[in-house]
Amino acid sequence: MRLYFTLLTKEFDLDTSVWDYMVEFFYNLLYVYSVSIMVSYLALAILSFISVRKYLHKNSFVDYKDILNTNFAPSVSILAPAYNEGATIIENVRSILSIHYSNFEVIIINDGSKDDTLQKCIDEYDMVLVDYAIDPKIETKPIRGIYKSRNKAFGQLLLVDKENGGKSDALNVGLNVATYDYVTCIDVDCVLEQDALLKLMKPFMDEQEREVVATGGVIRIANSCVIEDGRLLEVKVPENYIARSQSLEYIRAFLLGRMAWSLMDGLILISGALGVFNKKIAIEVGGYDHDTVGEDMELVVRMRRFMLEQKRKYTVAFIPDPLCWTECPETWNILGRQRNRWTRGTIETLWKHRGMLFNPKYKMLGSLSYPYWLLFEYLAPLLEAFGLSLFFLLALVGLVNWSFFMLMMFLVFGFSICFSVLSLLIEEITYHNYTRKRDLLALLKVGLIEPLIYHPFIVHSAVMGNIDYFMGRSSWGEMTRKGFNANAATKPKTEGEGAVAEGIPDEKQSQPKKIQVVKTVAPSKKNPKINSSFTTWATGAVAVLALCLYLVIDLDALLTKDELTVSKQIKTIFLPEQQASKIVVKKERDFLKRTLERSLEKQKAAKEKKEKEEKHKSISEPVLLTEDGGHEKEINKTAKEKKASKNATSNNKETPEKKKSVETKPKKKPEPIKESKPAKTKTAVSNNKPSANTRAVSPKPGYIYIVAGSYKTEAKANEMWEELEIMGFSKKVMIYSDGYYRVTYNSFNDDAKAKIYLAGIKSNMNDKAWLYRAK
Amino acid sequence: MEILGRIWDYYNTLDFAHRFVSGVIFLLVFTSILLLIGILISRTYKNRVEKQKKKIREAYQHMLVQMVFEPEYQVGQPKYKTLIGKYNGRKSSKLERRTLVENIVEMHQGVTGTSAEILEHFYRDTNMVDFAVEDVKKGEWWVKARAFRELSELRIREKFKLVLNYVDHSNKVLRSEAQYASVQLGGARSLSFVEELTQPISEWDQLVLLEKLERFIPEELPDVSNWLDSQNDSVVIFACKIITQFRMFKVAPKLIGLLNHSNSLVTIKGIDCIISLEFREACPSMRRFYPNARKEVQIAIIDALAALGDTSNLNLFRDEIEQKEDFDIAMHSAMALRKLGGIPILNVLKTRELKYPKNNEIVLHALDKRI
Repeated sequence: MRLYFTLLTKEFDLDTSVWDYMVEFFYNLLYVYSVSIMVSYLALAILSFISVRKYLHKNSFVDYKDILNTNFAPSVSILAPAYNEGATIIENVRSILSIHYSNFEVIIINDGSKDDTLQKCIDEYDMVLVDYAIDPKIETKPIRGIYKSRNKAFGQLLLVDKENGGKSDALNVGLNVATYDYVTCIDVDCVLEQDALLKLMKPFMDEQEREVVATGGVIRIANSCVIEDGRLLEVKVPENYIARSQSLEYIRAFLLGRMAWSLMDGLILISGALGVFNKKIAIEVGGYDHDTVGEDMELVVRMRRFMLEQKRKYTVAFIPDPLCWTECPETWNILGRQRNRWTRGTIETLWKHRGMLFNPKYKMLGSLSYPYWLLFEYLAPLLEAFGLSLFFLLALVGLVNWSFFMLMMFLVFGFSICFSVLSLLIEEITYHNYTRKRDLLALLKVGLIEPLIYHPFIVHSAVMGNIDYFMGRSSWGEMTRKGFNANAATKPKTEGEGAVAEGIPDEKQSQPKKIQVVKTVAPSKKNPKINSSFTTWATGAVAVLALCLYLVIDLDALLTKDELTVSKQIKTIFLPEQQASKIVVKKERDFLKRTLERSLEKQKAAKEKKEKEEKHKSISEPVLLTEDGGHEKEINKTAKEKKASKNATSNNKETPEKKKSVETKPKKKPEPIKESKPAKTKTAVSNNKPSANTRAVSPKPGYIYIVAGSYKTEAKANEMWEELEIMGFSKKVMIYSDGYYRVTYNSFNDDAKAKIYLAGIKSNMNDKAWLYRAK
Repeated sequence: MEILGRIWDYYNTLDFAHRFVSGVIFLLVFTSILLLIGILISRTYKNRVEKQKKKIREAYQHMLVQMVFEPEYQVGQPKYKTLIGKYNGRKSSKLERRTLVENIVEMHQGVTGTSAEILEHFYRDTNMVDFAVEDVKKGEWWVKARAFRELSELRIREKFKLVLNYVDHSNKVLRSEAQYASVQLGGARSLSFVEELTQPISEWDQLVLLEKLERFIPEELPDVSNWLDSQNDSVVIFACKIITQFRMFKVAPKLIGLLNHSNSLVTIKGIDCIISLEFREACPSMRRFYPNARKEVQIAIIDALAALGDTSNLNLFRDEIEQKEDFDIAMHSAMALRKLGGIPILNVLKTRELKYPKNNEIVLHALDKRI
């Protein structure tokens, strides 16, 4: 972990502060989190695959026609809330009435529509107001009236007119009115597979030892699919990019997620678009919650919690077959609102049931499902956003290790792509819905670019959802959708308040089998809508991000006085003939250093060999080898000079300036200015004065130099100078003082800056570097 | 190669963390490519199998049609023998065999009488029975289950005992398939295995078994009255459904015993059965059990008394509307009154202010003939 941290950032402070530990802690947390989220996704994918295969094996023996005509099949009440559905209500009700099942009733709940939804139903199905008594087991908004058809062909149809109270309230009215033991809640916009209800009811009839409280099915995206008379004729991948991304997302979520949770009996979400519930238990727990926008998830959690508290054996079943085809948003704006609402729904549910977290009383629900939703579904986008913000912050202050950052980015994208391909493989092996090659290719393409475009938007929407939740905004937002039926599309848009004119291209209206009708699905609650124009916002955000990125890169380049591009660094691998040293930046030097170290070592070895040979030749010229802070340095020095040097050092120590200098040195690794105290002296013979053509200059008084090496001979110092040149140090200076040539990385007139630079050098390049303060 | 070598050199110069992350990235890219290849292979394989199946199916369909409808291909004829030689199961591949069996079964479902018998003969003569038995002995549970389906569909009655061994198997699907196959092979009488079941029969299985039993007459069925005493509640419920479906009036008196059953669901199914048999003699017993019964049983009794036309309990229903706060009981009582001609009572109740105002609405509901 420590290694990871030091790689991603650089320890520029000499003293490790509490802040450092906090930052390190967060980094480690993010690291562990990322790994665990990936592992959990993979584990769920594997479990899902096993579960789906098992299901398919089992299901291959089931003939659903067997129970189609029997009177013994359990009866189901189908609840269909409607709000301003005037444009499509007749077709939708007809579609529901034609569902393949033996014993069922249809309850249409008109949730205070402002359009002619009610009147159209009354007229079309010959309905009359009746004295229908209902037991208000769940409190709801007042019912204005209940209608029943005079036509016996529609004997199983019931129309409830009530005051507007939202989807939850409408469904609760449905629960009160329903006469059968099982209720299914259907979004009227969806296209159901003909045997959907049969498949959903099977778990209720199959389970012997446990009570089945609910069953759910897989929802797929219907955009661009060919639909006729409420039946799906051909499956196609949506043409719209946003819808296409959602297609892939739905495959991942349903095929690789929920099936695994179902296998572990930890499923807590049954989509509001299609689900069957045990009415008795749903009423016992109080029905749908009015105070949440994620009523579907909340109800399932409450039912499970109730069963566990009652110590009753139960299960929530899930059918992996695609049973319901729904239309998804095709604009960023609507998608944003939807995801915003989902996030708020999740927060509300998790907060309401917070007592279950790691509570052993709730078994799998408390120990795995709830923590998973909290950590990986709710917190994931937040942590992602936090991580990105932190990254920008660190980048602004130059604390990012770019190479490692890029690697981490590749890792995340790689995982995302791998996971998408895996989901497509499982879809291919199991259901093989997308038979056309181009559909598969389109989904693969989406998988490649989704992490860059779609996913960041989803993260943004989730963050906005959090903000809205904590700001107290609980609106559903208006969900504008097109519809499935062609005939209805030709009806005037002004008929229903929900009919929204924009977004229906004329040419689409002439295509009879495509999704076309526009209508408003969800009622707008008391709270204000989210009015900001997303396009403007997004453009602004992209501009700000681009500016930040530019500043980050530019700032870094300014700081290092060098070029900073990854491509150029890569060039050093593929085009070694180029002068690599020229394009290396300060923070990328560590890589180059390692590659060069080998050649330097070889050079050194060769030199040493040469020197030994010379030594043999002229014994009268002995060589002095001294070790200074672990760095091998050659210092040619006479005994007299050595003595003088010692004196100079001791004199320096006595001066007040020197004392001050020592006091300001770091506590961690106090590095005395060691320029003058050789450990061993064999002999020293040299002319130590700088020659006329020397690089060495006199140190500027008051300046602080970061010394790489100190040498008695200029030749050796020049070698070190060349090394630094190769490594790309552009600010190096060679100074001559007290009889030594000192090669320095950089010079400063600010004490703090010098220390920061020294720390950077120590952690990355040369942990034996030291400060030299010129007098 | 040189570039790869340089990449490898570069990789080696990295520290552990860089190497680890780079390694994982490489692994992910490699896995993605493998998965992609997997998609292509799966798609190609599926398409190829589909094409092959289609080809084989077309050939077999032609042959089967000839066999069923053309006299010179019928059993014993030289052309039939040639076909047998040609399509001997042992010579054909697994895919061919499977497709052939699927075709035979499919066609068998659409024909009866001699045509069906020809197909059964062909199935036997091509040694397909041996393969099915082998599948039962050695295969995975789904292979076994498929073999049961095959044997039962083609009425290979001599394998009934083999199938019977699995009717109480721990694997639910296998158990169900064995039960369905037993009924098809052994006839309705074979259903007596139900008495010995230790595993419950799910509601789904009950419905499928009832569907399979539809082609039998009641006399062919075993005596289900003993099943009403079974410790296995699912067996009792199944017996009630059989009694209802086959209208077994002789068993009706025994249904009264279910009114006292510890499982409410069993009692309710018993009452439903009494209603379907119109066994009015049970009314006094039901009336007797009514006061101490659970709510759901009370509702079932009210419905039963109404359905059986027992007018002696009108006062009971009136009292329930007047005095019971429970919505469901009041509602069912009101509807019972309506059904039993108690409209005058309801009209009287309509004019009065009842103890529980909700019950006034119930009375109105019951009086509304449009509902």
